[in-house]
Order: sequence, then C-alpha cells, then structure tokens
Amino acid sequence: MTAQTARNPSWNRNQSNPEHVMPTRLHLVDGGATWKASQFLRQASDGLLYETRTSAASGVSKDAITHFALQDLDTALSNDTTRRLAGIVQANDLWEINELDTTVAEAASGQKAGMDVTSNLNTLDVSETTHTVFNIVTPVWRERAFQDASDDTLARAIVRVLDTTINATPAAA
Amino acid sequence: MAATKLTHVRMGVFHRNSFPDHLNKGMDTFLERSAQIPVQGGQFFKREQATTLEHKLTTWGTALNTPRENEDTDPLPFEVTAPGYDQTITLATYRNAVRVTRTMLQIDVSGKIRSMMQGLPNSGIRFLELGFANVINTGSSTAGSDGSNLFASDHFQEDPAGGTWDNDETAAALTTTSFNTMRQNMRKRNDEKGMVGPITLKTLFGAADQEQKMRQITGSDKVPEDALNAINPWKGVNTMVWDYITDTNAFFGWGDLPEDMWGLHFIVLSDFSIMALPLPSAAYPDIVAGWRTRGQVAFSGSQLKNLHKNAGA
Repeated sequence: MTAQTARNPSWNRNQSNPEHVMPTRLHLVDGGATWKASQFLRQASDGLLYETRTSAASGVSKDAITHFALQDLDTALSNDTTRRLAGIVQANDLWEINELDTTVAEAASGQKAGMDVTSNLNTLDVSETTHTVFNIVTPVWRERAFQDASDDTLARAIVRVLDTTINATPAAA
Repeated sequence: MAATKLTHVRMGVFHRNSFPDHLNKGMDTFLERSAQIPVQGGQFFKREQATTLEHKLTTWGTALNTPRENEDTDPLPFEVTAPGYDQTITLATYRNAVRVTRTMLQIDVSGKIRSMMQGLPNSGIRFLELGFANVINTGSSTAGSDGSNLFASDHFQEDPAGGTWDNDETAAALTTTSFNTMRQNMRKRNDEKGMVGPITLKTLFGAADQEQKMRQITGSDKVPEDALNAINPWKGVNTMVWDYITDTNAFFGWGDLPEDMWGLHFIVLSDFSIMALPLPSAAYPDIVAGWRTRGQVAFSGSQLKNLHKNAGA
C-alpha cells in the first residue's frame, strides 16, 4: 500500500471529443480570492471567480464548479477589476483527482462523490454521497498498471464533473 | 527555511501557463532535467511475439526416464515425455500523448518546449521497466502456470513422479550463509523426472539496500562474516541492483537455465512506438504539433525455475 501524494486535479481527456482542448477565457477575479494553479473555481452571481469549497450544497449553488485555475493566485488582488486566465470546465471533461484520504474501489465507478477543499487543495471525497459534484469514471489503478495500486490511499481517480454542478445557477459569493 | 512547492497546470496541452520560465526573456540558462531511466529487468524476460491480445503459452520437455535392462527379444519399453503447464496472458493497449499550442512555440525563448516532448518515448521505456519489476515484486502472491505462486515451495514437477521443486528460500537476512544455501538449493534441483538437474547461480540481485552486502559476499577474498580467514569461494559471482525491487530485504538468485526455461515472459503485439498526430486539425488549427506513444504488451511469469527468492529479514 502506498499513500499517493495529493495534488490538485489535472485535465485528462474529453470523453466525447478526442481532439478537445480546454477553452480558456480572461475572467474577473474576486479581490479577496487566492488559489493555486489546477484548482477548480466557481463563478458566483456577481460574475467573479472564487475558489471552490468543500461540497455542502448538493452539488449546486455554492458547490458549483465552472472554471479551472491556470495560474497561482497567491496574493489577493484587492480589487474586483483584474482578469485572470482560467480554463472552462465542460461536460464530458475527465479529470484526474486524488481521493481525500482513502482508497478508491473499482465498485466506486459510476458512483457520485463530493469534493474536499483544504488549503488550496481539491480532492475527491468518496464518502460524501449526499453533496455530490463528481461522477467517478474509474480509479486510476484500473488503467495505470504498475504505478497505482488498488490499496493505495489518497488514490487517484478519473472523474467527471456533474452537469448540474457545471451548470448550477450562480450563487452569491 | 521552508521549501517552495511548485504548482503547474495540467490541462492536456503544453500551454504557456505551465511554463512561464520559458517565456522569460531575462532567463540566461535553461538546464535540462533529463529522465534518468536505468533500463533494468528486460534481460530476465523472454520476449514473445503475440498475434492477438491474448497469448497462450505452454512448455514441452525432452526428459525421459533412463533405459531399462531389456533384451533384444523382449518387447520394447516405451516412454513419453511429461506434458507442460499452459498459461493464457492477456495483453492490454497502453497509450500516452502530448501536444503543444502555436503560441507556446512562438513565445518560447528557450527553444526547449518542443524538446520537452521528447520525454514521450521515455515514458514507454519507463512503463516496460515497471512492468518487468512488477512480476518479481508480486511473485510471492501471484499464481504462475502451475497454480502455485511464482515463488513457492510446492511447485509440482511436470511429471508428478519427479516430486516438487522450491524456489522460495527460508527467509533469512542476506549473508554468505544464506547466499550459499540459495546457491546450494539451486545446484541440488532435480528435473521433471526427479533426476539431477543442477542450476548454477550466476547473478545475485536485490534492491539498492542490499548492494553493499551483495558486493561484500561476492567481492571479498575471505568470507566476510568468518573470523577464521576461510577463503570466499563465491568471489566473482555477478551482482546487480534492480532499483525497481520494492522489498528492501529480499534477494534473488538467477541461474543458468536456457531462455525457454526462465518462465518470465514479455509478450508484445505492438512495441511502443511514436506517431505524430495529424495536427494542426481543422477544429484546432493552433494546436500545432503532438505525438502519441502506443504499445500492446503484457508481462507475466509462468514457472520461475531459474530464479530463487529469499524474502530476507
């Protein structure tokens, strides 16, 4: 058993379009927000980008996942008029993400799960089955032989962001 | 002072956000972090060409019982060789790909971005190394063609009258004594008819943690642990560090049986190869170049007659 080293999500592929590349846009950023590259972001009802948060709203509202950080934002901008380049999360994008603290069983494939956000780190939380934002496609150990194992903790999984989470009605910050 | 953890964007394309240093006109030097791939393990595996994604193998033998006393006028005594264990190995397709944007290439002041994609073929080589070692690392819990684990004490000879054979030594720390026990056990191996079939231990290998001990055992003029200046008869035996071996206590003895009896199989339908992607495409005219690597392979063990393991201590 190995404990994988958790890192923020990475874009893996798009299931419906093999050529797909993540589109990017310059977006206004909340003046108080900070994040790390490769974190999921959400656009709030004020139009600004914020760091996502641990799932707690059934995958909608403030659980929304709409964008993907392309740069570190270590220091808050202190204004709401600065733009930053961000990727746009789309349906059928498949993401590789570490589990929060445990293994990912093959039987988790097809199941819904939540996200944990702690210290600018996004991880999959398979134990969160109420407030779900991801659909688990497969544990990575099923497709990456010899490098990942079924008993790895902080295991890597391939997930899809739920359509309801991508398209959630923007909530207040 | 705390270390700085780098973050980088993994968005499936070599994009300018991931590599700001390459766009920095103030940068004077770009030093390459080349992949250090030791290329280990392949020498113990027999390469076999598959024709489908399922590969089946068996063994055949030539060993017959010895002639009997039998007069010319007696009916002839007839013999047959023993059958062999067979095994079906499933191959899988493995792929990996990289691509780069036009902007990234245009504004890359280092000129290295295109070169960075040369890591793709190395990723295939790395995969092979992991695959080779995985067979050994999981050999104590993975069944071979005879139903026993690859390293086990209860392998049946193909002719059951030949008894059993054992390639799983009693666990003991690596010393001249435990090495000699392994060497002796290999030397005392019987063949499938139960007749003398000695194997000469040619190479002692293990993880890097065992390197010093392995070198002492095979490099000293005198037996390292002996205070009586006994000569070391095993000076000169080959040693090898196999960096992918995960058990830091284990050590392994590799014998001199012919390749068909190694029992380690590297099955190939398609070697890992690189192909340029048809880029730019109509949909993405500014994703200007990309490559993919692809291989269809499997790694497996059937009967490791040429390899003994001691789990160490």
